[in-house]
Amino acid sequence: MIRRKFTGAIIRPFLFALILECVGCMAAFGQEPAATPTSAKKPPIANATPVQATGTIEGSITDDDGKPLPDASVFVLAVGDQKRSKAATAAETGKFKVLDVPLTMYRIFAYAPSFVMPHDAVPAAGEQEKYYRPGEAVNISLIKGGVITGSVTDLAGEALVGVSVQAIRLPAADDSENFFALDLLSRRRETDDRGVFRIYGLPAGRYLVLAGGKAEYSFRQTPFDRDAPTFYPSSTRDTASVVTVQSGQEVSGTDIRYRNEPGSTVSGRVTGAATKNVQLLMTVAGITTPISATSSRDQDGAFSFTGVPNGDYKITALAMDDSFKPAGRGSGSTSVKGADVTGLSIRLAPLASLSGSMVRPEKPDVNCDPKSQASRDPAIVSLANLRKDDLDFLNFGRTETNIDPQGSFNMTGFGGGTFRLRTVLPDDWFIQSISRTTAKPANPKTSKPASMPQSTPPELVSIGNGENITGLTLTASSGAGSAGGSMSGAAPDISVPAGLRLLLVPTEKERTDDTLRYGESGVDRNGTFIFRNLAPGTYRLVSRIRAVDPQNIPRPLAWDAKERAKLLHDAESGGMPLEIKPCQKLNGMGLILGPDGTVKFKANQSVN
Amino acid sequence: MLRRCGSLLTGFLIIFLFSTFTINAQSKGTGTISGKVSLGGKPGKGVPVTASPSDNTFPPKPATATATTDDEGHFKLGGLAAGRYTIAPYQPKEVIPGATRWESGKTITLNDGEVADNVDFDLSRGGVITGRVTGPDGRPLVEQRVTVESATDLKTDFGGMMGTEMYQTDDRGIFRIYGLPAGKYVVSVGEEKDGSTQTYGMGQGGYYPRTFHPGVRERSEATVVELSEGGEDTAIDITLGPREKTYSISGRMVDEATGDPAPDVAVGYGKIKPGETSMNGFGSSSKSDPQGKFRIEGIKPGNYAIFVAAFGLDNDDSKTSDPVQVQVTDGDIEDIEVKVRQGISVDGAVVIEGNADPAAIAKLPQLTVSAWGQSSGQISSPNYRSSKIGIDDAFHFKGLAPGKLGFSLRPDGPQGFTLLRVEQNGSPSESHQIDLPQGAANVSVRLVLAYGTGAIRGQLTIVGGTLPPTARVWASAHGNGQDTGHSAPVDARGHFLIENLPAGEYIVTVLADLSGSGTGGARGGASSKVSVSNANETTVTITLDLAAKQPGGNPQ
Repeated sequence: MIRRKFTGAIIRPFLFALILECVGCMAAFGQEPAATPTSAKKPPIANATPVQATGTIEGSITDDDGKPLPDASVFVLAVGDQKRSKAATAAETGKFKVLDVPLTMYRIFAYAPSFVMPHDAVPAAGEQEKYYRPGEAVNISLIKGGVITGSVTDLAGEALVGVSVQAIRLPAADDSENFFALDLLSRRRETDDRGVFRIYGLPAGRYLVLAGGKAEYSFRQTPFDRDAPTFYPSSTRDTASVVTVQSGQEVSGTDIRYRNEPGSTVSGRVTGAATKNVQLLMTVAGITTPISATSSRDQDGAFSFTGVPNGDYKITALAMDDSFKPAGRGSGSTSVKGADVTGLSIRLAPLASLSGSMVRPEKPDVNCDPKSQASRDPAIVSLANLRKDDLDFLNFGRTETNIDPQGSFNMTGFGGGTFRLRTVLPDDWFIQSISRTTAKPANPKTSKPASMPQSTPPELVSIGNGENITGLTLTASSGAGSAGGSMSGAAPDISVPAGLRLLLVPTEKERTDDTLRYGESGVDRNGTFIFRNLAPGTYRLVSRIRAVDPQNIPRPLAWDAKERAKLLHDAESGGMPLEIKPCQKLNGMGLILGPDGTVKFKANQSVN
Repeated sequence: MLRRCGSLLTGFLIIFLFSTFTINAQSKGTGTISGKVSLGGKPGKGVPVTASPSDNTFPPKPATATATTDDEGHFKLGGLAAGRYTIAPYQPKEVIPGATRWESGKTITLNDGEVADNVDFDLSRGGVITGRVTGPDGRPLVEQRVTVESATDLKTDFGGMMGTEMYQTDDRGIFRIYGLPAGKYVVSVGEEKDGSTQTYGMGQGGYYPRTFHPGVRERSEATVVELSEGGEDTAIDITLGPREKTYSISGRMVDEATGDPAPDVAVGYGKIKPGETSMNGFGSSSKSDPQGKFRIEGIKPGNYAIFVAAFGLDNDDSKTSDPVQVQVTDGDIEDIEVKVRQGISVDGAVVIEGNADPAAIAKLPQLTVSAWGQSSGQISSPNYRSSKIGIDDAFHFKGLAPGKLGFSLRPDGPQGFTLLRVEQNGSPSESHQIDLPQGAANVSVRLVLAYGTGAIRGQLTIVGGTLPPTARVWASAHGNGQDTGHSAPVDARGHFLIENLPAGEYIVTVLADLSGSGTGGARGGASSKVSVSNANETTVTITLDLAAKQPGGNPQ
């Protein structure tokens, strides 16, 4: 039991449950955060008057009927300052309160056994996460998860006891949800003495259900550990039946006839930057949930996966140092054809970092609401990986940090890749420009000053493993506006099509090549949308339906010069004009959605 | 899950204790282990039997060999290299005699090419206890941990690492626990009021107090579940009452000398039982904030100590404090002030005694030195540090509180090293423990190690009776009373192999825990003197007389 807890804290860093565990273990050991802003030691700007250093996060956790969930827990993750992350359990009223939290931004997860986070808390691919500030009401309605139940029998019809059954979620076909948050959730349960299993708390979706193989991190030795898993109903992965489950639904009769076929062992060594405390995940193309996981705790970096069926696999490895901070990352691939694979070598590269600053004009030209504290709200900068299969499971798929009161930020401990630089800003700020100064690198070997060709969109960031990019400057201006609303179908049978995007195209000549001035937003299932932190100016609104790319997160269309030209053309010929005045919050726009995915304003609506 | 933090440190220690033995049982060999599986006297056919490396590494290694019993219940596991194995039939529904939460089979120490016969298992039918757990409003309680204890023997402990999952309620509040021996049981859920299961750092919303089937708080009022062999007791439902309240403790960490806030200090807290001066169980909340403030939530009523947690994984914390006692009765406690000061530093040097093999010296930096102890003072707080030995054969700890500090080598490093002595001021300390005096800034210590890969292969003969199947027997070797000893389990045939011994004279002692529960009970023992040379194996035969009144027997 105790041993189980111990491992749980260390070697399950990618399950949702792990978020819970990690908060706990960080609290237990009072660890340093994974990323420490370099300027954290500077005195705060407002030291003339004592600032309130902490606030309160409170709210309630209910089920989707609004009934309180007294057994819920809340995990309050402080952006860029993980050691300030906190956890709380709800009272019997479903209400919770976390006192003394620093005034930074938070991501909040609620957890109640057998429930799942709602869709609106799990943004679509490429959409921005919801962040909370202390004082903001946090009301989360959890959704009752689905249940898949059935039995496992051998070919003679005898019940198999204690075999591990796993439900692997297939990615949504339409990019309508965050692949990472949901798909990394694999659920395992053992069969009982009657061979019956019951996997609950499943987010709605399509699942592969498989029995056998070694349950990662289980201490129980079973005769099924080295078997290739049998997929429901009694097949290999290629011919497996998909089980679809809705929220709150119980799918029974998922009975598996166990094939009792040996799997292969894939073994090797990790080398390079770090070789201990290494977690390894095995994935197959098209499924982001790892199909197998193992760890290497030895100094020599040896690892092995057992019970691997024939197929092509990618192995991602991530090392942690003695304080469980990310220390290195690497990946490799292998092909299993009926025999063990030995001597695989995976080289771990050191991690990357990105630092810079956010500058504001000396005198804000516009002050939207002088009484509002909003402009003092913390700002966040984050890097969103543009590859869907680049698992960064130690950072829960995100690389983010807060911008300190002096305007500096420093993101460390992430693997190299291609990212979209994003920001979360106070409502009345917008990003005026992004530049990369050619400051002399601190360490010429690994640091490189940010530089880029003119044609590259400024939000596109490519960083190699072990690379440290410095001197990125974000210039923010005030007077930003926003535009949001909802749409309804022109006819009752028209619903929001998969991949629908709304785009704001700037119409002032000098801005048409400035990708920062374009807005692109997905549309929620209920038809709502919002563009935040918009520069004042004139725009035209157009729509697009974008195809789903199984490998990549959609990049903003405006990043591509040809697409930009098409957008400008469409905007001029049929776009709906929209003016955002300084500080204007344009809410409640009404749009009519045509059968072909085109949109137009509702009649009698004044938007300017 | 919510109770994790408090036992993390214990978790580390247990892993270290249990990972002492490494025998490479991975390579192929010519050894064979065979036996018979029967169920209630009848042959158990088609039962998978596994031989797994019994090296207690973490996580456990997969089985080396698997066999299935034939129609007569016979199995044969072949191709085994010399090594220590756990042989276990896989029949989770049934009861394996002598199985504990840590071990589910028989240990066999196999010599090169050896044939071990008659490794037999007579299983009995396991029973099932199933029921539903609901809250005061009738709502099913999901993922509640169910405890099944013997109604007659308080020490019996079910629900260990084997099959932990079935000890949790599912999404309907239902639990189904199988593979239980026939007997009388009490079944409960919830947490102890006295905090032995503490929701460290969480649990602001209160906790469910321990409640027995069918819904009573007192163990004596619990309805006893009588389970027959292979029987099924259904509707063992438990209805919980409202949650009990928990409170918070908040305050500030301040510099003892200046009174300034002490930020970023790990805040530790532990529960003190009435009449005791040390903490039983402790945890740590997050670090103090930039104003030195801290808040610990989810505290049950009781007597607590708050202190600077000096047992974190990061050894860079140089601060310590005296524990501050806090009595929590029926409200939140505020404005606790903990005075923080610089802790004691320990500079350690490591030497290998004798003409050390250069290969052994080269392995020194892979060794980890662990140190733990209790601080002195009215209430003692835990001191815990561990560090790799540097390439300069030295290690450094800081931030320790005055008191005792004991040393050991973490067993997961290179094998063959034995901690012989811990020297302070040039003289060896008792039990590898040194004093950290009050007011000291810096303490020097010298660890004297020995290196050797000698082994003692032994055979235990039992006279005057037979061991019950639940008995646990261990052999240990102590050299001249200096080291803390090396030990190994005695297998089902009385074989044992104690490895990684430096050359020298040893006293080999065999101790039998006849209760089998690891909790004491009747013991028997015998010992013998053995001379070991490096890299060689010495054999020894020890006779244990179960009819003898006192454990022991004299060195022969």
